[in-house]
Formats: sequence, C-alpha cells, structure tokens
Amino acid sequence: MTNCPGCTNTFSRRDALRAASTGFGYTALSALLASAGTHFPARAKNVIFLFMPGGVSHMESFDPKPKLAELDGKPAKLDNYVAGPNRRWLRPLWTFQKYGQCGAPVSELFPHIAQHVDDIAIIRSMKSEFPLHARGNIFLHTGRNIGGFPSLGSWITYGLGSLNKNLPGYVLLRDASIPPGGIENYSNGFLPASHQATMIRDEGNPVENISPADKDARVQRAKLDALAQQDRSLLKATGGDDAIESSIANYEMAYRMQSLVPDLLDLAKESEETKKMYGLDSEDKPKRLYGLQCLRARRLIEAGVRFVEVTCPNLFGMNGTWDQHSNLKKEHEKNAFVTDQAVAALVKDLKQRGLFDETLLVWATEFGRTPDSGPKGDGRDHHPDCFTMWIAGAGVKRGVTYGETDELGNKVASNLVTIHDFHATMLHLLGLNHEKLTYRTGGREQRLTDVHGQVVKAILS
Amino acid sequence: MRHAILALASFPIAFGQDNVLFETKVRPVLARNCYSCHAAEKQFAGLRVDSREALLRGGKRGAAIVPGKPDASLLVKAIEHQELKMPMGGKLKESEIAVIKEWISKGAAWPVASSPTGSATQDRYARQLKEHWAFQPVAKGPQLSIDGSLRAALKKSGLKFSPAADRRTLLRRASYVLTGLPPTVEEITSGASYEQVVDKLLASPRFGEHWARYWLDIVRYGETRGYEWNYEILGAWRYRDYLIRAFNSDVPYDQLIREHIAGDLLAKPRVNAAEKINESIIGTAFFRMGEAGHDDCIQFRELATDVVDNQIDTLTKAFQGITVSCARCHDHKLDPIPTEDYYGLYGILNSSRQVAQSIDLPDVNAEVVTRLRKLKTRIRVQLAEVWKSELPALEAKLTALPKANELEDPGYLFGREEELAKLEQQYRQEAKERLEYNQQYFTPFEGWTSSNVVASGDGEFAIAKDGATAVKGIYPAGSYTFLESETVNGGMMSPYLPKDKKFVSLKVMGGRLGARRTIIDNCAIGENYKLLENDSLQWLRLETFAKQERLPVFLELVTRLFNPRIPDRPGMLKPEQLKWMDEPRSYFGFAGALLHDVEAEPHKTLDHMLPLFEDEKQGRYGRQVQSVIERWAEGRSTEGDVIWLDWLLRNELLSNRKDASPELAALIDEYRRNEEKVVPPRVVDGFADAGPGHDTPVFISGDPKSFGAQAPRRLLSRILGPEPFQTDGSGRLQLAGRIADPNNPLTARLMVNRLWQQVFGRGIVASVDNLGTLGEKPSHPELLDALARKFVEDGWSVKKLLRAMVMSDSFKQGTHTTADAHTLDPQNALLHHYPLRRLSAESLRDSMLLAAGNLKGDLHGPSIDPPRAEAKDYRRLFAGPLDGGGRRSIYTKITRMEGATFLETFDAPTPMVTRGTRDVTNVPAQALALMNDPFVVAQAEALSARVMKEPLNRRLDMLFQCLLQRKPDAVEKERYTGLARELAAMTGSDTASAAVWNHLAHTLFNSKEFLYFR
Repeated sequence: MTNCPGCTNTFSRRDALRAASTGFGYTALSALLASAGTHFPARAKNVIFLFMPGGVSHMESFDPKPKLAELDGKPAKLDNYVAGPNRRWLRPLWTFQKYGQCGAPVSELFPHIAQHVDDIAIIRSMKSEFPLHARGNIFLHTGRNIGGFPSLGSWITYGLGSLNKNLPGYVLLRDASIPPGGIENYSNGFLPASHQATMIRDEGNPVENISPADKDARVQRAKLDALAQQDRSLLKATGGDDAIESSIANYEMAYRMQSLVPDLLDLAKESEETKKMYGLDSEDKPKRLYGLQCLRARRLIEAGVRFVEVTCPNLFGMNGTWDQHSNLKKEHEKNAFVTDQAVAALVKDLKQRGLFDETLLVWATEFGRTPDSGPKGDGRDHHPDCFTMWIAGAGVKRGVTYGETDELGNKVASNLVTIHDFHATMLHLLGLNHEKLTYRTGGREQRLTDVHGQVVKAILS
Repeated sequence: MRHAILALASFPIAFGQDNVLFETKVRPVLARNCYSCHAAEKQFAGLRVDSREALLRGGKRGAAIVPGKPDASLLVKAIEHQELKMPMGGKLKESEIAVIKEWISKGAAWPVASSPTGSATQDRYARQLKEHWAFQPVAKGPQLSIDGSLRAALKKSGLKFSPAADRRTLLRRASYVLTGLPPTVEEITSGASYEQVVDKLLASPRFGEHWARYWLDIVRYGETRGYEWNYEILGAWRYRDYLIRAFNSDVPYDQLIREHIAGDLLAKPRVNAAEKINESIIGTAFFRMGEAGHDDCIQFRELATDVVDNQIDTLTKAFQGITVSCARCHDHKLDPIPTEDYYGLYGILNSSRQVAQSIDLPDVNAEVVTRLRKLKTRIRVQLAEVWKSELPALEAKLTALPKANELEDPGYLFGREEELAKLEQQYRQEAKERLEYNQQYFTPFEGWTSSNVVASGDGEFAIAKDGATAVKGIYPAGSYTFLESETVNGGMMSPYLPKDKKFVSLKVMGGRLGARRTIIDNCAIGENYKLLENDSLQWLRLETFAKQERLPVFLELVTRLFNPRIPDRPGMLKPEQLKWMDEPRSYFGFAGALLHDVEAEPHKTLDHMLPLFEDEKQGRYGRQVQSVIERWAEGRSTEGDVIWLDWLLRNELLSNRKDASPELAALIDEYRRNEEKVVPPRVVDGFADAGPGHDTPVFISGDPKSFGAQAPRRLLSRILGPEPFQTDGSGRLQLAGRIADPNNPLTARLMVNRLWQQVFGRGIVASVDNLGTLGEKPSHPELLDALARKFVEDGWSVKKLLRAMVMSDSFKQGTHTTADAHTLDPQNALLHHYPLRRLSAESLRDSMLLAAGNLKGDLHGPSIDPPRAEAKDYRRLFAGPLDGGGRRSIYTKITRMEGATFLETFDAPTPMVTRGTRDVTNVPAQALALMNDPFVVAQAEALSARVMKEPLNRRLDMLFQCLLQRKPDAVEKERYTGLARELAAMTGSDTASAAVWNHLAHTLFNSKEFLYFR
C-alpha cells in the first residue's frame, strides 16, 4: 500500500497454491519450484527469531562507546526526534570485556551470551526507519511500516512449507502481552491464512482449543468416527468436492495435534541438566518462563517447525520490555537477567545437538537507544539510526563483527545493513532469492523486501 | 450539525514550486555530463541519475544523494573529487557544482512532469484508455436476461446448467445468501412459493445485518485505531447501524456513495425522524475506520500521510475498483493513473477536517431545552428582583471590601470620590491607550465552526447544576456548551491558523474533561491537547506552529464526547478525572480568539468604568448597579455589564444563593429536575469541511518533505476527465458526484459485480476489487454491462438487483457437476453449477446461536467485546461474554491489535484494507475450534437442552431440523442411534441422558453439511 513495486516478472504461483492451500501450508512453493525445493541450495532449514521488543541499547550490549564516558553529562546535540535543549550525553552504564578467540566485546549485561561470541555474527550497523515502536516492530517483521502485510515467518513458510505435516510452519512463543503494532506483526497479510503464526503461550492453556473438550479420548474418537461417516456421505452426494475432502482431512490432523502439541511442549523427556541450562530452576518466574519458551523453541524446530519467534516476558513498559526511557540501569539489567542465560543455552543446546548447522538463530530488536538522555538522565530514547542485532548458525560466519557505528553510537559509519538487507540475507540462507519470493495480489507481485534489500554476503560462511 | 458561524478565512498556505532551478540548471548539467554512463542505456556501478528515485536508490556505493544534505551526498563527493572523481571526462565547473549542491540542499526536487518515463507513460496510458474494457462507457444495448446470457455462454462451450436444486437446498442457499442465516423448517415445509420466500427474506431485518457486514469488509471497518494504544473510533458502531438501516430500507446506492464521501455537505441530508438523526452525516465515518497513531505529526510526517494513503486506497478500491494508492510514489505502472491523480485526492482529503460530530437532529433536546430556557427567563426575573431589593445595602458592603488596586476593577472608584476629576482624565486616556494597544498587537481570529454549540450574546448565564449556589456564572458573548446543561456537550474548530503570527490566544474556560486541541496536518489523535481546568474565562496562549509552513494547523475546543483522545491511554488522566467518564457532563466556554506576535495578553479594557463618570452625584455605584441589573433582567446586557455582574457576584455584593427567595428556590429546583432530562448527543468520528480547500503538491517519491508540482483536486483525470473540481470547499461534494455519476464507467459495474460475487460465489470479474488492467477480464461482459444499466435504471436499488439474481434459473441450479464441465471450466467461471460454499465466520457463529435458541433478534446498539483468553485493558482489548450476549456476529466489536479469534479463525478479515472477497481457508485450527472451543460446546449443550424437551423418539429429528433443516434418513438414524449407545456405555449413562445428547449435538455442529451450504 505504501510502495508499489513494478511488475517484477516472476511466475505466479497463486492459483496453484490456492488449489493446494489446505492444511498448514505444507504444500508450498517447494512443490512448484525445481526439485531442490528452493531457489538455490539452502544453508538453513529453519529459524529461531529471538525478539527483544522495546529497543535494546546497542552501546550497552555489543557496541562499546568509550567516548560517551568522556562526554557523560555534557550537553548533547543530535539531529534526531528527541533533540532539544535538555539533552545530555550518557556514559555506558555497564563495562565491557573481550571474549572468545575473536575478542568481541560484550557488556556485563550478557555474561552468558558473551561465552558464545565465537559462534555468532554481530551486526553493529543495523538501521531502521522509525523511532516509534509500532512502526519499528511492523517494519522489522514485515518489511513495511504499516499493517496488512505478511510477516517474515509467513513468507518463509510460504516459500518453504512446513517440514512436519502435522505442525504449523510458523509459531510464536509469547507471554501475555502484545507488542505495539499488535497482531499485524505476525499476520499472514495477503498470504493464505495457513501461513499465520500459531501462538503458544508461556502460561495457562498454551494453544487455543488444543485441549480436547471431550476429556475422555474414547468419546471424542467415537464422535469423530461418526462425523467422518456423516461427512463422507455428503462428499459422495456432492460428487467429491475438494473443500469437503480437505476439511475431513483437517479433522484428522487436528485430532493428532491435540496429543502431538502437548507432547511437544512436555519437557518430561528433557534432562535435568538441560532444564537447568535454560534456567528452568530459577527462582525468578519470568526467567523460568523465558527459559521454557526457548527450550520449546528448540523442540519445535527439532520437530520440523520452520520459523519460531520467541518474545520476552513484558516486565515494564507496555511498549516493549526493553523500552527504558528511564530506569535504564535497573530495568535493562532485569531484562538481561531474564533472557541472557536461556539465549546462551539455546546456542549451546543447538550446537550439542548438531542443529546449529541447520538452524538460523537471530537476536533482534526494533531499534537501538540514543547515546544521550533527557533531563532525568537515567534512560535513553528510541534510536533507529544504528543499532545491533546478531545472527548465528547455519551458513553464518562465526565469531565475526560486521559494520561500525561512529564514536558516539549515533550513526552507521560503515557497512550499513537495512532491515530489508537483513531480511534478504535470512531468505538467502534459507535458499530463497528475496527478489523471486513473490506473491501476486492487487495486480502486482509483492515481496518481503518490497523493492529493496541486498544480501549481506560478508557474513555468510 | 455544523454551522459556519462567521465568514471563513482561507487557508494561507502556498506550496512553492522551485522547479525553475531544476529545469534550467540542474537537469542540463546531469544530462550533459552523467547520462551517458548513468541513465537508461548504461548504469555503470548500478547507478542511474535520471530520476530522483534512482539517485536515492543509488548504485553499488549506496545512495547518491541525501536530500537537504549536499555534503553527505555521494554525488557531491564525486563531482568535488573528494572520494571519487566524476565525471570521467573532467571536473565540472565550480558554478555547476554549486548548482547541484544548492539543488540538493533544497531537497532535490524532481518535478513530476520531468520524469524520464513521461512520454512512454503517456503513450501507454493512451493505449489503455482506448483498449481496457472497464474504462469504456457501459455499453448501451437491449436488456439481457441473466439466464439467457449464461446459457448462451455455456452453450458455446458445449455445457449447460446443472439440474435444479431441491427446495430445501435452494431455500437454505437463498436464506444464507440474502440474510446470512438458515431458513426455518417451517419455511421449507410451508406452501409459500419460492418467490414469496425471497420477498420475505429481502424484507427481513436480518437482510440489512448481513449486507452491512459485507460492506464493513469493503470499508476495512474497525472500532479501534490500533498502533500502540488502540484508541476508540468514536461512534464507529453507529456507522454500522447506519449501514444496517440503509440496506434494510434499500437506500439507493448512489445516495450511499454521496453520503460516504460527502454526507456532511449534502444540501438535503437524509433524515431519520424516528431516531432523530441526520443519517447522511454518518456516512463520512467510513473515511475514519483506518489505523491511526497518536505521535507527533510534525516529527513523524508519515503518521498523517499514511492515514490519507489508507483513505485514498479504500475510497478508490471501494467505489472505483482501482488501486490509486499505487501512484503515491510514481505514476501507476499498470493503470492510467499519474501521480497527480493520487495527490489530487490527497488535496481533497487533506482539505477535509477529521472531526467528531453530532448526528442528532436539532429537535432531540428541543423540548426540554425550550422548557429550560423559559425557566431561565423566569429565574432571571426573580433573581433581578432579589438583587434590586439588595441595592440599599450595597454601599455598606462596598465599604467593607478591601480597596481595589486595578483600574479595571469595578470597585476602583469607590472611596476615591475626591480624585474623581483627576481619575476621569486618567481613565479616558488609559482606556484609549489600551484599546489602541490591543488593536495594534492583536487581531481577532474569527470564522470558527461549531458542532452542537450555539453562539450567545452578552449576559447569558448558566444555572449551577446542584448545591446552594443559584447561578454558575454570567458570561460575555461567545459560545458556551453548558448554558442549558453540561450534558449538552459540543465541539468547535477554528479556521487554519495563519503562518504570519506566532501566537493565538483563546479566552476559554471549561471542566469535566472539556479540552483544547491543536490539530496538526489533520492528525486526529495527535498529542497536542490539554484539559481545560479553569472555571472562569482566562486567556490561554498557544503556539500557531507558523514555522510549519506547509502544514495546515487548526484548533479545536471539545467536550469529552467530541474528543477522540478520550478515553485516553493509561496514565494520561488522573483518577479524579477518570471519574468524570461515568456521566456525560463535560463543558467549555469560549469568548473569542486573538492572533498576535507579542508574548503577552491583551490589556483589559476600561469602557465599563466610564459610566461612573457621567453620574456626578453621590450614590453613583447604586445607580450603576441598578441599571446593570435592569438591563440584565430584560436580556439587554452589554459587554461592560457582564464585567459588573461577574464582579458583583464574585465579591458577594449581590446574593447568589438558590434560597435567596422561595420563588427562586422553587424555580431552580424545577430547572434542575428538567435539566436531568437532557440527553447527551450521539457523536460519530467523521469528516467536515471548514472553509475553502487547498491543493497539495505531489510528494516526490512519496516523500512528504519533497515537493513537486501542485496537483489539482479531481478524480482519475485520465479516466474520468481532467477538469479540476470547481469548489469553495474540500471538493468532496464534487468527488461524490463524479463517482455517483451514472456515466462513470466503473461505479455501477463494480457494485453489480460485487453483488454478483456474493450471490454466485465468484464475480463476473473475478478480481472484485480491481477492474484495472491487472484485474481479471469479465467472463460475461455484455451481461455485466446490461446489469449495470439496469441497476442505474432501477434507481440503484440493491434489493431489486439481488432479487433478479436469486430469482434466476442460474441461481436455482444444483451443485452437481459433470466431469466434462469440470475439465472444460474447472473454475466454474461459466457457472455450470452452483458452487458449494462454506459459511462465513459470522454465518457460522450466528447459525450456532440460532440452533441453540440463543440468538437474539435485537437490531443495533453498542458493540460487544469478543471473548478473550486474556484481556489487555491497557490496549483497550477487553474481554466480553463467551456467547457475545447472544447477538449476531456483526455486533461483536472489531478491535485492532487483536481481533475476535473465533471469527478470524474462519477468515473474518483483520480491518486493514478493502476486502471485496474473503479468503476461504481450510485449516486444522478450524477443526480444533469446532471440536474444542468452549463457545461451540456451550451452544451444542444449549441445543441439546432444547432437544431434550422432546420425547426420545423425536429428538434426532429435531436435532437435524435445527441444524440442517431436514430429518435424518434411515442410515443416519442408524448411525446416531449407534453412536448414542456407544457414548452411553462410555459415559455410564443411558441413551436418553443429557450427556449423550450434548455429544450428539456437538457432533452435528461439526458436520460439513452444517458448515457449508450449496
């Protein structure tokens, strides 16, 4: 709606997909592409996308700015949305140390992730467009600044299909909150509904309608058997309609999901050691819940889910837990405490299980935070001009840091990576050409990357 | 309704066009020196420099220019030989470099007319206009029958209709298609002819609910604004009710179009006497149904432009079947829509104010207000009597007052009798000087428009709503929402603020969530608002935002019901303020506005003091006050009198107690009793014009900070004609006329096709929202045109057209298809059978409630929050009852950020864009919902409870009839008796038990025969 790409001349798969758009979208593009199933050989099979909503401070996580310590408290003049007379530079509130063989500096906020810098590629030169949560989130998730477009996970399941016919291809592991931008962050947009995110909650009933209403499994089976007979006679009477046939098949799949999903979420078979690694023994409830979701993420990709996003427990700001306009010290620290151990555990666990070679692990946030602070001096504001994300796993160079920001952490100094570039790179690792992954709607071919995006080749292994 | 109360000032913003520099200097330099390697033919390093977009996109090294920042632009670095040395042939002249830098520093405007694709585009447009079917006039010709046309087309392919459907199938189909609900068994078994049944369905109030729901998809209807805080769209549900009434009473479609686009501007609005509302004005709410953010629109320009973009997108898709929003950044590549067309519409919408307005007819409170006014006249007389009786004591009271220090204080001259002569001179001098000062530095800012507020003269007053006080205040001429009652509410808006004054000062008062707002670039829920917390008139100085030369800015005064920021997001209102949300009372008073540059208030005038000098005898104060009271009693107060009265009451020189006399007390009691009967206005977010509109320039590449040529306000210049609208308003009225024109080639075809798609499951043009070159071709073009003609001839009657469709043999066909037909026409474009169709989300949910006996038939009313596993109050995502109060699904609240999950599982759209057809997906989540959702289980149990009242041998019949409108056949009887036995054994009950019948009902709820109609 905002931008209209020209008619890129890729072949339309819409009708074929429409005909096959049943189930969880496992009949996907792959069936229609060359036998390889992708545009070119894929390095990664699936994705775990760790979303840190609110905006993590880059100069206090992976991009040290000693200059700010010098300038601390002096009047700051920046050309951004909060610029004004009462701004002062703010020193980084945490110290950095170098870690691993690569010697990448990590702040004391993330002692666990720090142990894995040799496994990840840190991108310090991310740039977004919008210093506003709703737009920033939607941009990060859909490549557009307003709702109504398919989410990254939807594009990927649309492009690749699910690896497990009994499971959804795109899963969101979430807490009770909904980040700004709302459900549009996880929407299938104009793609078939089978590509929307299935939500799994950290507490309570994990998936909507997954617990059988009939507590006695025999009762449900008996009803479904009678139903199947009933529906087959209709099928016969109508001369075999595809829709009814698929609908009947969906009941069988739904029936299986009722036991499959709880099994998948049940950690009984996980060792105590593993659970401990993810922090499930923590006395802190949010930390336990986040650990649980990270461990579930691993189990889901193991079971063949293509794209799993994990959001953070929302502890403070209603606009994302990392949104520290004030109380930076206390609240960033708490967020890091809740997430750091489980994220590191995920890296370790994936590696131990050999999944690191087929999984893409992304640590993402919608923007960074300003190098200066407002009059209260205890927080930082939204900063889309430069920030840090990291990516790791299949096909990604290990132990590298890509891109630079200026000495204030205010602008990208070299190797700028836009959100579109980041998306293009992710698709590339999954074997998809971002210019060819299209869907025709409203009379034109739409892309995740709109008319932009360049693969960041430098971080590919 | 809005009334312009004074002459309207014009919008003083002129959009500059600095194209001369570009055409005479910049382009020649680029063309001469750079095009040979960086234009259409060659793109060395991936770079083109022959359009602004190309420069912004840049090449391998990144963007070539940064508009506004020449030193940061790679192009400049290259031609200055800093990083690169370009052009290859030798460095440019310093003057040429300076020109390029100047151009970039001014924003690098690239006039649209100079776009390099210009002539090729023109040629393509000419070809499309000549060749594309939808741009040709609707063909004239003989009337064609639906059946004749379809049969002829089938015959050509060697196909024919499927045998006719049986009565039950047909009635079920007609009932779902026309009302979204199944028929009753009685309707099927009755002797009524099909035609009679159809007419009954068309006349049913359920018809309007069903078709209103369809139209809500077209207008991306939502009731909250999404983004971060999900603000409420004021009165959105009243628009939904408006649609239900409109479809039920078959309001002509062209009228509906006019009301949607310009309902507030119609010379003769459509009036609903029963409801006492102006129906037409509600239509414009359609523009307001999109997403909107609350942040600062100066900093974040897109917050404003994206709202307009969504409005343009919805307007053109909904009514013209064309995607004009594609032309936001460049000429439309596929349809003849140049960028100017987009900005022509942008100008119309940017000239229209996004405001909340009352839809009440003036007579809603007329009776009670008349009674209150009469009582006020009597109270005035009584009070004046009391005051006159207090005159003898006045001097004594004045003596007791502390000595006044300000010249303007009415008490100043008291006790200064000796200096009177000297003071007179000082007063006359000072009065003149103050007046001159005010005239020199302050300009009246007039021309405000009001909704539900009437202007009043000097000396009007309000009765205190409770307590011992009689009069709340006596006021100078102005606009006060509370003169009769604080429940009246209202809103006012200013003309656009001029760009040559720094400040605007308002003389205002207000309370109980009354507020002042500054609306920048039409951002309806912008941050710039403050509650009015002063109960007496005070000057309030505000910024005019004059530096924002290109942004229209206006002021609003609103009571709570007219303020789209209320209810505000968490933390914005204090707990004691939140309490005011419980009742509709809210108010403001406004006694004038001034524009100025000095950072000061106007001087207080002294004219009211001068009469004291005319009277040379002792006792002048008593006589002055007496004449003030007498004039007030007769309703002839002057501005000065109001100052006196205000002073007298404030200093308790005259009594202001309700019980000052028994007559007064009785009258005030009666007044207050009547005042309780005032009802608050019904308010809807919509559009209003205020004063002349303005064109906007093209935003180059969609960037709201880069300006091209002015785009005249008009609609689809290539397709419908280039004449700009002649208007002294926004142009919406002309826009509505151009769309509702019977000669518009798109309007009738689009609607006819939409209705056809709803009736037959597939449009004659399959892409129902796109009649453009990338849409599908019509399968039966002559029929489409014949129906479009008939539609217009029949007075744009939706019901007549639908009736013709459902009465056709084409509609009455069966669902059976042959292998041949399937091979020849797999998509059934020729309609060789009636397709099997899944119930819409709403029909499914409504049918369950109906079968369960829980569906309520009430029409209209506020929406009901959907059930939610977890409410998120801070985002206004509240949880409603599981069964939605038994109301039809159209009454479930459509919330952005998170919708109603059950409905969305069955493809109810999220409200973002026009959706003429819904997806019909087939996913396991739907099976899970029907198997396990507590709503479904509860409805199955309710149905079972109904069935349980019957004797055992009739129950299965009834179950089938409630759900499928037929009796079970022998096999089915066998199947369900068997199932009942099995379930009884498993649950340890008998086959007559409620437990068993709950399961049977639940099983049938899951049957595909229930889920589909054919």
